Amino acid sequence: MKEDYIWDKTGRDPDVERLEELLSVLRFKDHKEAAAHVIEFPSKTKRNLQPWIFAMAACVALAAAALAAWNLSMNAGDPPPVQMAVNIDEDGSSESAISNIDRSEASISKVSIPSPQRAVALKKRSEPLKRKYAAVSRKRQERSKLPALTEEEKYAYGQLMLALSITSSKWQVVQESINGVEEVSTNER
Amino acid sequence: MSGHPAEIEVTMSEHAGAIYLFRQSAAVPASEGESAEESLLTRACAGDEDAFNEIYRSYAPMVHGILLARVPYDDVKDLVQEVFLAAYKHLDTVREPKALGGWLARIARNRAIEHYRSVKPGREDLPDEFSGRDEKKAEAMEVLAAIRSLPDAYRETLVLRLIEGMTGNEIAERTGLKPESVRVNLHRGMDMLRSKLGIAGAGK
Repeated sequence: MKEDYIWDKTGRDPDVERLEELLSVLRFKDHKEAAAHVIEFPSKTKRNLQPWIFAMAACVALAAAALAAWNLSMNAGDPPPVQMAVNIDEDGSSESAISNIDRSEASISKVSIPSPQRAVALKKRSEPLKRKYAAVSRKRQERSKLPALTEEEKYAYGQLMLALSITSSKWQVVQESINGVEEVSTNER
Repeated sequence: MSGHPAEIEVTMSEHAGAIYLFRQSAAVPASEGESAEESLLTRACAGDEDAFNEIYRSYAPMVHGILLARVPYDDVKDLVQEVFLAAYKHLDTVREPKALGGWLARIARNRAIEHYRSVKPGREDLPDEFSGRDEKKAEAMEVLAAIRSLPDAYRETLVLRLIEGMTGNEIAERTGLKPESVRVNLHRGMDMLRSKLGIAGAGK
C-alpha cells in the first residue's frame, strides 16, 4: 500500500508533521471531559415537571367538573329553597325543623328566618309556587314512565332501533364519500 | 458491505485507535458497530447523559474543527457548547444513527454563519493574532489564518487533519463526507497551503 501521511498518517512528511506539531496548541482539549463540564444541561426535573403540572391541573379540573356535575344533579331533585322555609314552619318552631337538615344550611335558615311570624308569611306567599312545583314534578314523572309493552312490541321496537342505527351509519358513510369526492374535485380544479 | 471487506477492516481499526465511540466495537463486525451507535443515540434521546457524553467525546473535536475553520479562535469554545446544546435539544429528530456526524457538522456550519450574522456592524472581532499569548501560539495563528484563506472545502478538512489530528477516514466518517472527496480536498488543500506558506513540499 502506498504511504500517504496527509491521508492516513502512514509514512513520513516532515512539512505536515511540523505543521501538526505547531497547530496542536489550537487543538480541542475538552473532549475527554464529560459534556456536563462544558454544557449546562437543562435541568431534568424542569424538563419533566411540565407534563406533570399539566396532568395534575387536568385532573384537578376534571375532578372539579365532576363535583360540579354531581352537585347539580343532586340539586335538581331537591325542592326549591322556598319549600324548605315552609317545611321549617310546619312545626311552629323553626329550631326543631332545622335539626333535620344540615347544620351549615341551618345557620343560613336561622339568618333568613328571623321569626315564626315571618315564616308564616313566607308560607302563605309560597303556596302557589309549591302547588306549581308539585304539578310539574307529577308531569315529569308521568312523561318518564314508558308504556307497558308486549313481547311483540318490544321485539318490534328493538328491530326499529337497529334499522335506524344501520341507516344512520350508512348515511354517514355516504356523506363522507360525498365530501371526499368534493375535496378531490376541488383539488383537481 | 460484503463487497469491500478490506475497506471495512481499515475503517474499523482506525476507529479503534482514535474514536472513543467505536473503541469497544472495533473487533466486531460493522453491523454490530452500527447497532451500538443506534443504541447510543436511542439512549441519548431517552435522556441518558452518559450516552450524550459519549457522543460529545466522539464528535466534539470535529465540531471544534469545523467552527475553527470559520470563526475566531476565542469564540469557538462557546460555539461548541451552543452546538451541543442545540443537538441535545433536538437529538430526537435524528432518524438515522449513521447521519449523526453529518447532522452535527451541519449544525456547526449553520452556527458559524449565525455567529457572523449576530455580530453587530459596529463591533469587529479581534484578529486572532492579538489573542496569542506566546510565540508558538502566534505562529500557529498565522498558519490558521493561511488555512482560513483557502476555499471552504479545503480549509475544513485541513483544520480537521492538521489541528484536530484526525485521519482522512475519520474526517469522512465524522462529517458524513465521501472518503474520496476528503482525500482530494486534503491533497489539493495541502498543496495550496504549501504555496501560501512558501513550503516546497516533500515530493517536490
